[in-house]
Amino acid sequence: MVTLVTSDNEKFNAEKEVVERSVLIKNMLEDVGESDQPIPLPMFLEYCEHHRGEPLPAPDADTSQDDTRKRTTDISEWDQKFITVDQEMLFEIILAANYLDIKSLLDVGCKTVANMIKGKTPEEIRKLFNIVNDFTPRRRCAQIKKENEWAEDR
Amino acid sequence: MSSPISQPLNPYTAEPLAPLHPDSALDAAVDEISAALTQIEVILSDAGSNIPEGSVKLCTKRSSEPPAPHVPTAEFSDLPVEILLVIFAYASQTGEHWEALSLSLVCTQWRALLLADPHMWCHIALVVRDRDPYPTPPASTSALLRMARLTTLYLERSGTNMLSVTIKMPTRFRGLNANTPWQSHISVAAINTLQMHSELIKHLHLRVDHGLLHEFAYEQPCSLNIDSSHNVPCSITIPLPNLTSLSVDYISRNCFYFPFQALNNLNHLTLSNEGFSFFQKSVSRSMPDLDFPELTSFVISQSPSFSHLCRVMSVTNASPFIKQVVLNQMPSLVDLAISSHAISKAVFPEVSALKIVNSPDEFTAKFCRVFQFSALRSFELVYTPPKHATSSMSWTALAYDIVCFIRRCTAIQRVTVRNVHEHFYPNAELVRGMTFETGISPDVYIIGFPIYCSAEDDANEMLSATSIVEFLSGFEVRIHLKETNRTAFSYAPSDDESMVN
Repeated sequence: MVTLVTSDNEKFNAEKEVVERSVLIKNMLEDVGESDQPIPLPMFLEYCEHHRGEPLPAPDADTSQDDTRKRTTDISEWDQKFITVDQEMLFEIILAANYLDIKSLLDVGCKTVANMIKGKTPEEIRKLFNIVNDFTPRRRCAQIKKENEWAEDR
Repeated sequence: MSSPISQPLNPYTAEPLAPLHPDSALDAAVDEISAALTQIEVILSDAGSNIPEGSVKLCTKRSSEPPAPHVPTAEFSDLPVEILLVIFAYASQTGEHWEALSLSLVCTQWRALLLADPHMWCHIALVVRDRDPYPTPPASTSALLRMARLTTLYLERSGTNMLSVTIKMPTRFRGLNANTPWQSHISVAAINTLQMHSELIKHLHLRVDHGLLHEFAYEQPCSLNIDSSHNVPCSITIPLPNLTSLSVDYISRNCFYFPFQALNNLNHLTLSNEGFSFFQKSVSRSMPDLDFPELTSFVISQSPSFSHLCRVMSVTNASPFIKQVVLNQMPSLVDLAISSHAISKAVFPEVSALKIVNSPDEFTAKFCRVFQFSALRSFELVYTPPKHATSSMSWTALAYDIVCFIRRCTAIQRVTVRNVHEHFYPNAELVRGMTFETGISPDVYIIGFPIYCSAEDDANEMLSATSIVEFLSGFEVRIHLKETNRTAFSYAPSDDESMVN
């Protein structure tokens, strides 16, 4: 068992096998060795617990991935429910998955954002994510104007 | 990392992605972005715009409120560039609305990122929505012109990288030829442009009618009417030497030949919908000369009949490397009468893995009674529990057919029966020890099966996988006894065979 402490000092006990889905924690455990020292962790036990037993991605998973198949943004039903949260929480999950190095969770988060983007015009994307259009009128050259017309025309 | 960790870490202040992105990779990325910025400036200055040096800025948030403690406050602009690139790649490589273009017009930072990476522009989707069933000629003209321009733009920006192409156009869509009947030859500029780059196509997904397939597949399509009498190739087909995945979703039932030849690198083939008739209905006519030497996975969707399914699956007999066949959304096979003749037709000795998904129980039951797979090592059934239990066949009858099927697969090593709502791993119960009288002893995974209930089962009863396998083993013994005694190959569940002990 490993004791995990969240940033607001709440303690959780979890099995080593479960939390090792995070490469960061796996490395920490290897470095620290067997110890009673608590390890800090945000709340990702539910995700890791659910995916217990799944093979961990190989360290070179990025390069060994079967690229003969077309890429998809399909998300399993459980993961979809897990990731159905408000935007702020979704971005926090992505940031934390990135920090903790949980590739599968990071992928689920990125696919979810990609699915939110798909089918939207540039203006709709800006509104959705609160992004400022910083193409100043001076910068709106003929090419960008033309592309904007193509992007809006649907 | 060698020191023990005693203080809680703030996850957002530590450097992300350190283990995955060594410095050299980051440096390379920075170089690429710098190169792209230079490129953008050249483009902009060519266009007559006076843009000061180094003017590309990061996107800025509209709100600059400081985050409140313990409440999620992350925003899109908090995501590091590495993650943005992953999101952009997913959106641009799977969307069907020219996502790379839309993303590149959101803000200057995104534009720089998109223009710096040719892979973002490799997915070209020519899609006409069904929502406008009879587009007026001016609307068609504008849609086609836009498609042609964007196709050219994407091809310029993707460089010489491999392409993923999707063409989806409803049969009713005749484009500029709005008044011509479906048999007539039509011309679509974007498709002609793609033809010239066919060597670069790696993934191809087609959902088009026969006329458009004809237009796309041949280097010099003839202008004859395309009807059922037009059943031979009319010129050389476009070269697709790098195609690894092909999905053909819908083709008019009047298309009687498979238009692509020499797909020497094809790994994944998907044939869907009732319309495709590449495989002759009449047994007296020879099979088309299909040769997919590298085919490893084959998905068949919505096959219209038993004989059609057998015909399509015969591709597996000529594909030495085929590893997996997936049957998706199959019909109930109403034309299938279980007979020795049918059983002799449905023999597929090359398939080693088989998966049935999204198909009714009636299909699975009939399939299991008839089809023969002597080399099958892995069988997976992903079932959807019926919404109304009374509308399904009984659980016991289906289980009986599955057990019969498994015991005929003498090479079987693994059987998975999974409720579609269950994730594979967490609730899987591996049960070894189901030994068949025929000598096989596969690993059996039962995931969510007990939720499945027919009218006579107790809807609230949750059984363990072990008890289900005991139940199945009981079946197996009975089947063995029946076969030993040469009794009729039929099954009528009786009261004592209820799965609840």
